[in-house]
Order: sequence, then C-alpha cells, then structure tokens
Amino acid sequence: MNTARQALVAVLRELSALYPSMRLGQLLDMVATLTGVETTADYDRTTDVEMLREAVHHLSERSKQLELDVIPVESLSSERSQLLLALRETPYLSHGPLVCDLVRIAKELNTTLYDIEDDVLLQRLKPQDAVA
Amino acid sequence: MAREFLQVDPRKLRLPPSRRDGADAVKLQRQIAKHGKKTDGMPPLIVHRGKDGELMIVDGVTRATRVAKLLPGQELTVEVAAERPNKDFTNFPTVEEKLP
Repeated sequence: MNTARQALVAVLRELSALYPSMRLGQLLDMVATLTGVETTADYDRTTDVEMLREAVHHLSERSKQLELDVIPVESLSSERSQLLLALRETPYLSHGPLVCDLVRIAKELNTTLYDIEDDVLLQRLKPQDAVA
Repeated sequence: MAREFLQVDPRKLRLPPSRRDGADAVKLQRQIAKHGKKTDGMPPLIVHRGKDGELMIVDGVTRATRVAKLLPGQELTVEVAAERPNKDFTNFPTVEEKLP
C-alpha cells in the first residue's frame, strides 16, 4: 500500500468517527466530490494524494464545526474498524486510487460507491474470514 | 463555521455524483415499507453548500426521496457540513428531477 493510501485510510478512520451514520462508501464519495468529481467517469481522474488533501482539510473543518479537540475514534463500530483494517491488508485492491478500487467493487456487486454497505464491502475484501 | 441546520424542501436538493440517477429503487421501497410517511426521529440529512446556496446531499438520498415522493411540500432538516462557495452544484440533478 502506498503512503498516500495508508494516510488516506487513517484519515477515513477519523472521518468515520465524525460521521457515524455514513457508510464508508458514502464518506469516500463525499471526499471525491471535494476533489471535484462530478460524474462517475471523474473518479478515474482523482488520486489518493488529492483525496488525502481534501480529506485532511475537511476533517479539520468538520472537527472545528463540531468543537472537537480530540476525535472519538474509540467510538467506531467493530465492523468499520475491521473494514478499515481490511483496506490496508487486502490483496484484492490494485495500486490505483482507492476510490477507483471501491467504485469497481461496487459496480461488480451491482451497486454504487454511495450505496454499498460496509458489511458487503468487508465480505468482499475479506472473503476468507468470518464476518459477524 | 458553527453547526448550521436548515429546513428545506428535499425536492430542491442536489444529488451526489454516484447517485445522479436518484435513490436506489430497492432501498427506497424498503424505506417506504418500513417508515411510510413517518419523519419523526429522522436524523438530519448531511449536505454541502455550494455557489448561490445550492445544497448537495452527502448523506440521506433515500430519505430525501421518500419524503419528496410521499409528502410533497414537507420540509426536512439538513445540516450544512461544508461550505463550497465556488462550486456550482447546478450540474447535479435535483431529487425532484429524478423522482421515481
């Protein structure tokens, strides 16, 4: 996993704590729109570095908005934590932008980045493991 | 920027890139079967505010579509989570334009 992708996954962990009701795909879709994505074709034009930059900026703004000095990452669900770990460890992702990998997986499962459920994504990324 | 909540007509909200065609039909039917016209206890939708005050949904496409479809004119609470004053959201379709 490249450095930008590793850092992006770490920021997604913190964003997950700020948006507990949002699926991981929704979070990535939100960050992608912050990079300027307007159509599904645009996902290919973004990079992990751009996604990271926007995610970090938004994390900072949203933390201020919520008046949080410390991000409550300990509040993350076990499923989200497993999913973020799977993003770091899975052999099923390419070396391309993370968002493109997840868009591809969503498409293969006949859904979208916005709609894909965390448990479905986790099963896809960790097919060998028992997922509660 | 402090937290800001608004009451808006969900039909006027813009759809996000991967939901440009509107709410997922299966999810929408599931929500309608489960909640019908109920809006009590519905958490605020999350939106970003772009140029000219246009609002794009980042969380709540199915909820917005359900209310727009079943309760025309009913306003919903949204939370503005980001300001993007230079971003033109009029390129994104509205919930109303993609209502099933």
